[in-house]
Amino acid sequence: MRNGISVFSSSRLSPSLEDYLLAIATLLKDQKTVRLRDVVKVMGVSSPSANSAVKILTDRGYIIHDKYEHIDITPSGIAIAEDILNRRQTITDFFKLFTSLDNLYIEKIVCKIEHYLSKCIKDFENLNSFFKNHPQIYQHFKEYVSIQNQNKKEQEDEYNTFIHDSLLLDESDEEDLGLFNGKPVLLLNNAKEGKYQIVGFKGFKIQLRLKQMGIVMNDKIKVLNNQSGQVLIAKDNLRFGLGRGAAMHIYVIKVD
Amino acid sequence: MNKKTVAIIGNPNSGKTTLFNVLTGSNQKTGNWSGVTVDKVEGYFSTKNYNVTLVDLPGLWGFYSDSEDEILAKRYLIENSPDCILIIIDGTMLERSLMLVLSLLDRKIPILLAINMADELESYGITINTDKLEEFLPIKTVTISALKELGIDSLLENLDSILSSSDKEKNERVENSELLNSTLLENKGKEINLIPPGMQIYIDDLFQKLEEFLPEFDRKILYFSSVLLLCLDNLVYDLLPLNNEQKLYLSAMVKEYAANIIRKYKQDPANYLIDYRYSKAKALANEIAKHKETNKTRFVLSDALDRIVISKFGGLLIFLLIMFLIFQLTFTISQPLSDLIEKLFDLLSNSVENFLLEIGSRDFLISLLINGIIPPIASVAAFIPSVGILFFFISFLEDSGYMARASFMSDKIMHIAGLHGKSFIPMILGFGCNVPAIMATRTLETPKDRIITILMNPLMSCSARLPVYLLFAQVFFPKNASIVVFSLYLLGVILSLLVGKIFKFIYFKNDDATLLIDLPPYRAPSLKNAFTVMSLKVWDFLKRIIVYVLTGSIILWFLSYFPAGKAYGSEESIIGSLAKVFTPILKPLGFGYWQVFVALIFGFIGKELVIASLASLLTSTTGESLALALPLYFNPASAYAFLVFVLLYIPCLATVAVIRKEAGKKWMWIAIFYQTILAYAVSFGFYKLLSVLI
Repeated sequence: MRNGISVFSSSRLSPSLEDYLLAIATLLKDQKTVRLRDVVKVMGVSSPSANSAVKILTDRGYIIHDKYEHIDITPSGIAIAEDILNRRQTITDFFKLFTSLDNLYIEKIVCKIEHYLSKCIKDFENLNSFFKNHPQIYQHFKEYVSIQNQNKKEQEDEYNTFIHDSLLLDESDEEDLGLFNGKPVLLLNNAKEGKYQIVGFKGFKIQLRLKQMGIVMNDKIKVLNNQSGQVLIAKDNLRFGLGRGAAMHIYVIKVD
Repeated sequence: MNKKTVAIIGNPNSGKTTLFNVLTGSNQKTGNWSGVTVDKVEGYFSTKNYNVTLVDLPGLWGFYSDSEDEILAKRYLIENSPDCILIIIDGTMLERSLMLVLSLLDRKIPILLAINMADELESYGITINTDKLEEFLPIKTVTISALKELGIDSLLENLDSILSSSDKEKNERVENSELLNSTLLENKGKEINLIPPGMQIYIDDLFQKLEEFLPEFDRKILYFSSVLLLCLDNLVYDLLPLNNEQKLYLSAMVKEYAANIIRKYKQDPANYLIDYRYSKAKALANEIAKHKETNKTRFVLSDALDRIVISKFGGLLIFLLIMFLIFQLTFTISQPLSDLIEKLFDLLSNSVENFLLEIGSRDFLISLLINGIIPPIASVAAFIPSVGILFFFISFLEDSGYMARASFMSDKIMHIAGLHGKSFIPMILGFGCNVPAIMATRTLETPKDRIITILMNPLMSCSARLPVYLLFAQVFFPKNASIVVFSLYLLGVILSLLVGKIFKFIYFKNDDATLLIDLPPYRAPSLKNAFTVMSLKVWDFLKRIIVYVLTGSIILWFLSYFPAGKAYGSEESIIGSLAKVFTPILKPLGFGYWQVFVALIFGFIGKELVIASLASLLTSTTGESLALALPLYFNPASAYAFLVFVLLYIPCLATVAVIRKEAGKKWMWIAIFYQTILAYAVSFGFYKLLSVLI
């Protein structure tokens, strides 16, 4: 019976138990003796859960927990810990070789996914070593990826232009502005003193700026002054000064 | 008492700064927002139960047009969770002000709304039903007049009660329903919904994704961020601790959703949202404000005034007149004060020297104090009156509403340099001192405007250069002294416009400056506020430059003092020997004397030191006064060339330090480099020209 358990357990530890074992192995590299509270500190867990983990690991013969509370690792424990470390290294190498993830992020996720990838760890190893031993092929691979990324970027650019285009009204010249409700449309910078109604905007950001300041679609405004395109307008009790550049972004029609 | 943080937000010209000053008095601390060079001002005051830190956020219109002020405010609201947001609005312009309130409701922080200009509301014939506003929106409201300090007590009371209720709620987890239900209130069938139809589901999706990515993060911030995300705001990606994969995921979501909204509503999400909110704000304003028969005399008067102030010729005349007046007043009032300060420091310097001699201190220590430490402090202190008075008038002009008109008026002049009218104010300030002037470029909207204005600014003749001009003009051109001085100012202005044009052409070719300026109604400015602003600015100015000036001057002292035993700054000192090596460079300009070179080096600490060092270096050999000694070294042509050089060469240490602080290292070096070359070339040209003419 006892034998049965040990066969089962040696096949695989649970991810969290692996973490405990690794933590203990790492601690023992730095210091002579390790106590339970050290493990608690490193793992950031409560002492009951650390205690039960240590108990299981002791039962399986990977560590020794003596009556003075000192924890030591057994040769089979060392073997397991090294095994885990190797597997993690393999996966880290894989991510570094074949993905664009940054190193910190890789470090963070590897310990989480390594457990679930252990069945195909040999495949990863083969893949890594194959490419490491065939630098030319690796180079080909890199080039392929960069072309792929280029394509993706182009697609994105296309998409951005689409959004950009749909945000803009047509940037037509004033001559082709046409009529709005039977009245000729003009740009605000060409409006003489008098009353007008806003019938359109040009440009995405400047439109937002105008609206936030209180100049919106269909507003009735009064042009108080126009000096070669620089206009002073009134809307109720609001007064705005618009430079030519800003006034050119507003379409108006004359009203009475 | 408990500590609390309150952020104050408001539209430009809503009286935010006035209220800030009323609440905190001079109990303020100026720092920098991280990463950008805009003042972050914090003030302190207390309500009944709390010590409050009031954070002044830049004046802004909303959150969606990406001006730098907006970015700062957004950044603050994503990185911090104040206990309450104090919004101040101009009660006479409810519609657009309420839009800002609606945008801030997304942040889900308790809001206290201060409706300012209570005194004016009466004259406008407007009554605002604040109870009704509180029925519609989950906020507290008070009516105040920041200028006349009315309603401040009730503001403090309300703030106190908001803070104490937020204390209780703090520990409760925010419920989904509270965050996601944007329907605020249904009041007699009318409901105020914050988000337009069709948009809420997308915001919810983004919010849930963000929650999944950042489970530990403040959910209120995540909600606020998801609204911004959908409005194609890229700031959020940088501010939230997302990794690359998550950013990509979110931006893909946003793109899809935005495209859907564009397809369905023919508008981008931000404009769609704003249009919707504007209509809601308008409905709300109609609901709560009653207009009696509108009292139009005010507008009529204001518009009539505007017709004159903004007219083509009259406007320009008034503008120049006001600028001239301010300039004159600043300097006639400040001059005797500056003189007095300098005299006091002279006295101090003398008595310190005597005292040290008496107790038998070492020569080294005496020289360090007398030559290295006291003079820069004295020269900085001598600026206090002019800087203070200048800012007093600036605050006056700003409060009165004229400043906005002045910006508008001068827009065309500034267009010559490819800038817009707002840049004019820093340029005018440059005549007083380039340091506060460059500080004032923070009011400009785009980094491009700011950098060009900063680069142009040192060419505006600051007041420290005036004594040099005056002395030389009186000695060499006694009959035309004022014309000579004026010509130098003019030369500076012309060259700075030219330089602006060139830099714009080189670095910012395809950028068009658009002026869009809100013109507040004319108002009687408050004397008290002007004094508060004055004292704060002076203090800020002192703090900012004293360290740089001291450091630089101690280095120069070191170069002038050693090797020990030689006369200070003499031929045998390190600086003297250096000067002798480099003097030939100045020969073509007509003033190739090592003493002049040393004086110019000292002018780097402060341009007014040019005179002082010339006096000590040139008179020591002849034993005569500087006015008599100068003609031994200069003729009128080289004197004018020298003045041109003083006008144009590397600005003083403090200015360089401020340029570095505002625009960064790269632009500081560009400024130093171009000014050296410009000074040399123009000065050379004038020397050759005048040698022929005179």
